[in-house]
This record gives sequence, structure tokens and C-alpha cells, in this order.
Amino acid sequence: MEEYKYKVSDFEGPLDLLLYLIEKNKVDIYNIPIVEITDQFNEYVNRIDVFDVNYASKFFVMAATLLQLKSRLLLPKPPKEHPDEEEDPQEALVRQLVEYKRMKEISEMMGTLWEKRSRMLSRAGTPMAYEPQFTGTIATDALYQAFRQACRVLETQKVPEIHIRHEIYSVDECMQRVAYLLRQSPGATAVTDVFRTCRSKVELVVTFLAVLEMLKMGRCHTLSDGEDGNAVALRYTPN
Amino acid sequence: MRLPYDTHQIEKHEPTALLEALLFLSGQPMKTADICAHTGWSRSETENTACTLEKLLADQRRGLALIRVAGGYQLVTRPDLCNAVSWVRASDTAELSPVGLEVLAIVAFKQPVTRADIEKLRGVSSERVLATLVQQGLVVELGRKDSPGRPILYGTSAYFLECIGMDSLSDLAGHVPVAVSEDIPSEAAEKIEADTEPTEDIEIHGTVTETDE
Repeated sequence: MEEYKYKVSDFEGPLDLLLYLIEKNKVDIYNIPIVEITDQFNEYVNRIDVFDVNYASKFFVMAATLLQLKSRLLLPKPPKEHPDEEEDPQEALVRQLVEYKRMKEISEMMGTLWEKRSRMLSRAGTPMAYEPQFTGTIATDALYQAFRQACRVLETQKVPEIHIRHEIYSVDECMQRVAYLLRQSPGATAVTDVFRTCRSKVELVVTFLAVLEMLKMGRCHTLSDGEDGNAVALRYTPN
Repeated sequence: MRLPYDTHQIEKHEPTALLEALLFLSGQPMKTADICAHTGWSRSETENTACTLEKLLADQRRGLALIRVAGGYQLVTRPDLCNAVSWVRASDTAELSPVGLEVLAIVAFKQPVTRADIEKLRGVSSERVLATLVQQGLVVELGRKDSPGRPILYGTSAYFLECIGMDSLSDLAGHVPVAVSEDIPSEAAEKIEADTEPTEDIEIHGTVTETDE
């Protein structure tokens, strides 16, 4: 009777456990002895003591997959009626395992880099000279006109029909997207280019609010743009 | 009286002094473009000055080092002094759990990627970990994928590069260990030139190749 050093809850997931078993049995990942590995996997699964249903269920699914592979091996193969277009399930599993293993190695490497970097300390920056923030009220009409301008961008675009209507956007999400967009260009981005990325009216409204919020917070500022200086461009404010 | 610096070299090193002053004030990494904007130098002039400063600090065994990170430069304390100065708790880098590191690695190398892609690769749910990484500012939303449900696409932020001490994603890719298997190419992987040669199983002794300081 083998001694079980680890419990299922010690593993991050079924792939983690599978990799452990493969290494422990010192077998080739491309040539897994399905029967033994499946039996060992099931020994662990039978002793699951975690109450997180989501977590445990992933293991059951993997156990079922392994059993299916095992049975394919043990039963005579049915005659193939059509050329097999689907990927061999064992190959699919091996591919998944290999990729997971690769990611684990990469994350180990990244952990080392992270640790190295954390040994280099720096100071918080000295804030730059105070830039006045806008205070006061804005005429509603001016706001309406600004939004009309943004809408015009959408009208000129050929927006393809979207069949799935229920789209939810948050101002925070759009703020992140706009910030990312602005940071891409070293100079300024025309405001029309920012709104051009919107695919629907809902998205446009939320993005418009996001831009206003960012201006208020001082995360970006406006510049005049265009030949006659009438258009508006945005530039990201580094802190 | 002996001065700490050779006086006759002051004119030659004046740009170095200016850069040192700027980076000291900035504290956080300063982008090359911003340095150019402040000083009126060209990109190559800035890079040369930075090289000179880096060498100067190292040669004189100073307490600070110049690092190239996230497309900019930063003055940091020398890593070997960390324990001696550790009473100054400067929490530059966020706390990262092993699971967080795993998800972060996937996002870094497979971006742009959806939560579903991440979960498919790991075989487990990643919602909570991903939310934490986003909250820490390491992962950002890049937009939405053009597929049913329009799921959110994730990628790493510039702050992530700062935390890991890399200049760019291609820089990070250069540290990837020798491939044990074939990589599944994605846009990001092709861009960062990951090693895709399929080989037999190779025992990996250590995973970090020598970095250039």
C-alpha cells in the first residue's frame, strides 16, 4: 500500500495532480501509461475531502476523462465510418498537459525575476508643480454639444449588426481601456479616434463618461488639435 | 582637499548629473520620452547618458544602481544592500501568491487572452485570482473579443513590467527557459519570439538565464 504524501487539496487542479503523477512514475509525457495513471489518479480522487464543489468537480471531470481514455485502450476499436476529424482525446490531453507544464516553468522563472526586482528599492516620486484642476459649473448645452460631436463619429462608421443585445459596460472598464489607448501614443490622441473604438451607442455613452471622469481626475488633459485648433486631442498625464 | 569626483570631468559628466537628479526626483521609472521632454536630449543621447550613469554608479560602488525598466529608467538601491536597508519598508512590488504568479505568466505570454482561455489552460477557475491581479494593477483590460458574449480580453500593464524589472515583453521572453515541448503560437508569442522548437524531454536545471545588469 503506497503512502500518500499529498492530498488532493495540495494541488492547484487536476492538471497539477496529473503532472505530479507523471513525474512520480517517471514516465514520458508523450507516452503516458493510461491504465496506471488513471488508477493512481482515482486513488487520490476517492479521498477528496474538500468541500469546494467547484474545485472538486474539476477533478471528477478529469477522472472521467481518464477513464474514457482507459476504456478506449482496453476495448476493441469500433470501425471508423468517417475519417476521424476530431483530435484524438489522448493527444488533446497530452497537449493540455504539456502547455500547462510549460506555463508552470515560465511562472517559476517569473517568480525568480520578481524576487530579484523586489530587492531593489526605490523612493516615492516628488510630486510635480501643482496643476490647477477645473472647478466650476459647465453649461448643460456645452455638454450636449460635446456629446453630439462624439455621436457623429459613430454615425459615420459602418457598425455591423450585433445580434446579442445585452451588453454591460462599466465606467471603470472604459477608463482602463481609454488609459491604455492614450498611453500607446507618445503624443496626443484625437478625441474622435478614442470614440471610434466604440461599437454601439451604449459603449459610446459609457466611454464618453469615462473620458470626462479621467479629465476630472487629472489622469489626462486636453490639447487643441487640427488645422484651425478647433478639434480636441487627449494626452495621458503621467503622475 | 580631495573631491569625490574628478573636477576636470565635471563638464563631461554634466548630463549624467542632470539625469541622476531627474531620476532621483522621479523616484518611479521615468520614460525615455519624458526625459527627452525635460532635457531636450534626443533618444540616443538619453540612452548614452543612461549607460554612462549606470557604469559610473557601478564602478564607484555606489549605493544606487540604474535600471532599465518598462521603457524607462529608474534609480534603485543596489540589490545586495537590501537586507542592510530593509528597515525602510518601501513596498514597491505587490504581494504575489504562487497561483497569482501562474495566472500572471499565462496573461503575460498569451495576451490578449480571455478568462475562459486562462481557465482552459489551468483546468481550474481563475475568476478570483484574475480579479486580484486586476485590482493590483498588474493586469489590465484591453477591450473585448469579437465573439459571442464579447468577453473581456486581458493583458499585462506597464506596472507589471516595473514589478518584474523588465524593459519590455520581448525582454521578458528572452528569459524563457529552453523549450521542452512545442509552443502553441499566439499573437503575443509570435511577437515576443518564443522558442518553438519541439525537442525530446530535457531536464531543466534552474530556469533563469543570465540577465544583463
